Amino acid sequence: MYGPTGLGILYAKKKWLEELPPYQGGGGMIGEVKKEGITYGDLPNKYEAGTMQTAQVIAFDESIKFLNKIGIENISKHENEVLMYGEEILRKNNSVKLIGNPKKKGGVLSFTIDGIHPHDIATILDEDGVAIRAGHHCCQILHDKLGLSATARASLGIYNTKEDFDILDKAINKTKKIFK
Amino acid sequence: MNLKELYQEIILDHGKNPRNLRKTDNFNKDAKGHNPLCGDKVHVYLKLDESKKVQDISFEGQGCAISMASASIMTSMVKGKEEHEVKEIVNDFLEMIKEKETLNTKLLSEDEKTKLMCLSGVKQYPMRVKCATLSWHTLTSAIDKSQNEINMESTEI
Repeated sequence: MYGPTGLGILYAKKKWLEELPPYQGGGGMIGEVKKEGITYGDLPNKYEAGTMQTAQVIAFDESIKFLNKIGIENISKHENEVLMYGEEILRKNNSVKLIGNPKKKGGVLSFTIDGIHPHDIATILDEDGVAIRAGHHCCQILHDKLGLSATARASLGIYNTKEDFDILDKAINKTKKIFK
Repeated sequence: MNLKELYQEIILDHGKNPRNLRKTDNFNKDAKGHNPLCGDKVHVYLKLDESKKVQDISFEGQGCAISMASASIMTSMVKGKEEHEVKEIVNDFLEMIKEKETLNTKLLSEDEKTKLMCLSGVKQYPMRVKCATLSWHTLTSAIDKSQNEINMESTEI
């Protein structure tokens, strides 16, 4: 959500939040502590033990404002345009094999290059300022099913442009040259 | 940072055509290594004779060019060495990757050291250090049989 790391939101039905035990103890989350037992504070205090991540909470609010200002639909439209372009560029590149071709997809393009391990691809692309992810992307079971040990993955957001995919394409060709 | 230092000719060569990529017949020591963060896997097989000399060493596995090249170069260096010599070479290599400028062991020729130093390029790429060291830790484990499987997530460098 374009904000700093270290903060998430738990969104759940009140009934379950009341029933579930707290995941962590600390300041501010108790009701009463007795020898016989403990009661916890009211929601949301029960789940907010200790010093809060003040900076992240304020930044999270700003992130939401930022996203709302641009508008989810505009973001989605922009990402889709760049994604379509990126897909076309990568399809035209003979060394690249795109993995997965669903009708509806988010802003990620996974790919492999014959004979070059994704971690080597990532390191070389990085030198040209192209940051991608390499590995199994928290998806080992699918990779096993596809018979792949790892894939390279370019993901995009509102800050990406079509030109970024031209740069990626060039960097991929350079990678091929190194491993020729 | 310099990519040419990381992907030198010798690394690319060993990465593409790894030596000793097979399973030793009648091996008497072996160990598996795994780096769950990137999916690299290696299985090292050793055949030691009565005097604890490495008669044969081989490996099976899959991984990036760095990890394959490192395993390949490693196997080509320790054949014929005695067990304690293998350990000395492994330690020397790991120390070099970690912090030392050079290799100090007298058990390797200058040519061999030059070859090994080609792997020192990973020092500039902290994420890739474990690619280069996986097979070496696995070799130590095969000799010691201290652990069944080396897991790089819990292994220091």
